[in-house]
Amino acid sequence: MIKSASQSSLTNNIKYRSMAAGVVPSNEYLIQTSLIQNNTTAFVDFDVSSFAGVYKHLKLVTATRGTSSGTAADEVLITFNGQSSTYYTHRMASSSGSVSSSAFSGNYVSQNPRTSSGTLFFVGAEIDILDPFNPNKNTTVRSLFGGSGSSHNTIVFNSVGWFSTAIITNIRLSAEANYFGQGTRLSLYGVTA
Amino acid sequence: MALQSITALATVTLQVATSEVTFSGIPNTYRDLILVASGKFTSSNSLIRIRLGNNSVDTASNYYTTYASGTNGSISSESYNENYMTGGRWDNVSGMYTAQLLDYSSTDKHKTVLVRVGSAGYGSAQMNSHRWASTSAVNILQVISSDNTFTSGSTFSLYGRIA
Repeated sequence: MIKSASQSSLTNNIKYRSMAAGVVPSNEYLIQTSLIQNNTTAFVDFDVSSFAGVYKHLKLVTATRGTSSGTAADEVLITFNGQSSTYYTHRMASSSGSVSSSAFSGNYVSQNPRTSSGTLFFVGAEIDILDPFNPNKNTTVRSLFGGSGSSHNTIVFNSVGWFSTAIITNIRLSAEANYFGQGTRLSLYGVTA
Repeated sequence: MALQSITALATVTLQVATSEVTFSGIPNTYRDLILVASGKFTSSNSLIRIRLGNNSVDTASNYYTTYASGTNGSISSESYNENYMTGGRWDNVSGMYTAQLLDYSSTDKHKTVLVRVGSAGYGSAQMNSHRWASTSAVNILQVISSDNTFTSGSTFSLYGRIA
């Protein structure tokens, strides 16, 4: 693979001494990617029932948009083992040009911008699911998500608590309203200890 | 067998103070790019920024930003458009910056970038979302400052993540 670096603007012609490449000793592994090719997918399931003992944590990286008309955005929800939203609480610090914070019940981890933002704009999210296979603790989820579109812009730092000690066997990401838009991408990674 | 998801593409450690670091010829074989920078400026405090491009850096006002930051106990936020993705402030003591460029090689999307930046010396922490309003694949990434130089010893590492 090709990499290069611009020379310093100084006149001593000193270039960068070190450039390193290659696979790093990484403890993150790709499990599954779903790339949505239509406008009629309301949710995507990830079966993680075989990963207890393999991974310590899980990570989702997503780029999402929705199919609801209008401005603003709808929620992207996370559900574990089919359990409803009443088993979760949620805290967030956010900005859409002015800072706010909120706290409520729910399982909200990202957003689907509505169609006024067009088909080229996606909200990005990095969602960390900590200790999902530990039967001695509730599960904590943290996410950083946001996007700066023409009709909707936001940046959010968020945590969700799932009040269950059950080992996670299934993760569902779902559109709060209508569907995920075509081009939505949902990727799941496992992280070893 | 599960695939390790992250590959190091390049790491640059500055040997002299430099105003810009550019990664070019970035391959299109990954899903996301991750940029990690650690260092400081030579004088006072300034903004760390990035620009993207396809074969050449886009210097037009095609970058959109929404941020929230805390600096020495005060919060601020804004949403705006300019000709950079402005990350936040470093000073001449410390700075860290991480950016995730999602779907960087897709030609059917604008590019969404999530950033975390902070400086213990300056006393700030900031989170940003950016959009590069282009469907071009990214194969060049430039790191610059608003009006300063990165010191010798500052490091800039670029990684590719598969999906």
